[in-house]
Amino acid sequence: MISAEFVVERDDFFMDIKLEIPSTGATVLFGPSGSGKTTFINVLSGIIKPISGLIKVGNATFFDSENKINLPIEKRGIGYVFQDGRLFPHMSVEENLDFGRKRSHDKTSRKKEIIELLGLGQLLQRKPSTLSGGERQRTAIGRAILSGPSFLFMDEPLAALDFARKQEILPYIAILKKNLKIPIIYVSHQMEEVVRLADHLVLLENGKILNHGQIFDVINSPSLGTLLGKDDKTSLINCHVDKENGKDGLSKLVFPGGYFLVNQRNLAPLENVRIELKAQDVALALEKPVATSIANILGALVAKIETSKDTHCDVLLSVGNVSIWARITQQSASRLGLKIGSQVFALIKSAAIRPF
Amino acid sequence: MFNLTTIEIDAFYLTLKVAFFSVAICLPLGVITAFTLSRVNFPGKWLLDGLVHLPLVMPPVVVGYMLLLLLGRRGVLGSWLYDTFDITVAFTWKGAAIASAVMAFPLMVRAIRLSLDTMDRGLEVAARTLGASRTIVFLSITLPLSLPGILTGTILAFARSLGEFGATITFVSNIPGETQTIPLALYNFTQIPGDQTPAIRLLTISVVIAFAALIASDLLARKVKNRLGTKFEEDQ
Repeated sequence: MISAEFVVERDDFFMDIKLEIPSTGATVLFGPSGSGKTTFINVLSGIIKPISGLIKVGNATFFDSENKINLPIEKRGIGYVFQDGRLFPHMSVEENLDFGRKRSHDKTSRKKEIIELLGLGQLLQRKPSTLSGGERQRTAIGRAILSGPSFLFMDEPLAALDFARKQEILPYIAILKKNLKIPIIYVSHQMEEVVRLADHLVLLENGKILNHGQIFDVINSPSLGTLLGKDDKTSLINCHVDKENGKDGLSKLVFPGGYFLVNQRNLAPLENVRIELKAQDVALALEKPVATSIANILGALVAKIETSKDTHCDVLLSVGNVSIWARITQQSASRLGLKIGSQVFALIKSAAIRPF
Repeated sequence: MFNLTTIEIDAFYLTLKVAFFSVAICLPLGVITAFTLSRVNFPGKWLLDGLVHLPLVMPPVVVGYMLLLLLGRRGVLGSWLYDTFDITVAFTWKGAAIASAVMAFPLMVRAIRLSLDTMDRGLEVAARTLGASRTIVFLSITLPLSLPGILTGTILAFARSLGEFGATITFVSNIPGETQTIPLALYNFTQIPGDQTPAIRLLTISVVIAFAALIASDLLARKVKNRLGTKFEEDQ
């Protein structure tokens, strides 16, 4: 676990942080540019020295202003993937990968595994200047991992890439997260990356933490809504792909409380996936519709109703252990006579469900 | 034409020897000084910066005379060198090398510093996040990446040393076989009225050395460029 408490003051930027980050899964630092996301990981990695504070990672003290401890960058045992890759231009891809590996404590390294995982096999002898943006970033990720870090910091590793390259890299990061079990701290201002990768979410604005916690809690918090300048509600649900997959081209995604049928063929059976479901894509009915094109009809209980200043209201549904938001008009809500505890059916088109 | 006289042969070898040792003095000191000026912040940095650049803005004769006062047999440092190590630099080829080195030093430092200043320092930070100490970072990242600047500095310093005249003649005089480099020998010949052939022969030798140095440096620069992989292909 990382426990960080520090103050940074630079030019007209002031940052005051007190935060604990778990050492499992991916923690995404999310916020607008200038909010201090990168400063935060630069402080943790020792690139920026705070004016005061106490930073501990596991049993190691990285920084302690009271006892004048400031562990140098190279002794902190962290991996850092920079936005611009920062591959060493005078070294081949393999020499870049080996740079940190040679100095890592555990030399029983997984070089072969990582090279395969990141698809770097064909690139080993190439110079960074001959690589595409995506290839460069994959190499940078491999290089950081092979240095055997206890934490992996990623500073918007996809920001410099175009849409197609982003789609090329994101699955790799998801696989890394799943296979390597290295805790990741990921800086981003893209909701897509948050939704896809985050287990924990930290919201930053103007050098302060607005909110932090489990992704499922923070994703619908008012603070995120303010940050994004809209009040959309999104449900994130962890599912696994059913083993009887692929009937009629639809995949069956099982979650505690039921299953979704999704328009996606290439999902491997038993794979864990996360789905994103926007509240406006969920409709409600009091009785189970019989003749309908809608593939997903889930029995649910109304847990909460949030009325907005607009004409709509957001209804929080309990489906088994899972919460799903539905956005309907206030007029519909009163027509259906919705109250907390009402039994309803949630209607979701399979095309509205986006699995990652 | 190609039967060189003793004076010419002496001047030829002496010029190369002086330039070689001048660069040999300049190079390590230049790298350290440039690195200090580019990367380290300390009070009085402007003073070091100014001191390094002095020979560039002062008349060479003044530099030569200062060297004589400092390193001459009765100079502050010179007498100490003579008493302790029995070394005399004034009026010897060693002195000529020192005079050339002092004159070439600012050129060397400026070239290396430019390279260090324009280098992506993020690469050094990246290397440290990968577990490399400052020393390792300097040797494996900073130094190789500033190689173009070091090369340029070396060539400039070498060229400056080949042509050094004012400081040399003031500090170590114009002694055939000891301190008489090609420029000094050429100066001698031009002072004698009459036949211009000896001067023109020296001029030719000088041009040949300069050309050879240019070609060698160009080949080296190409090699360094390839090694650093500076041919960027944008991936759009």
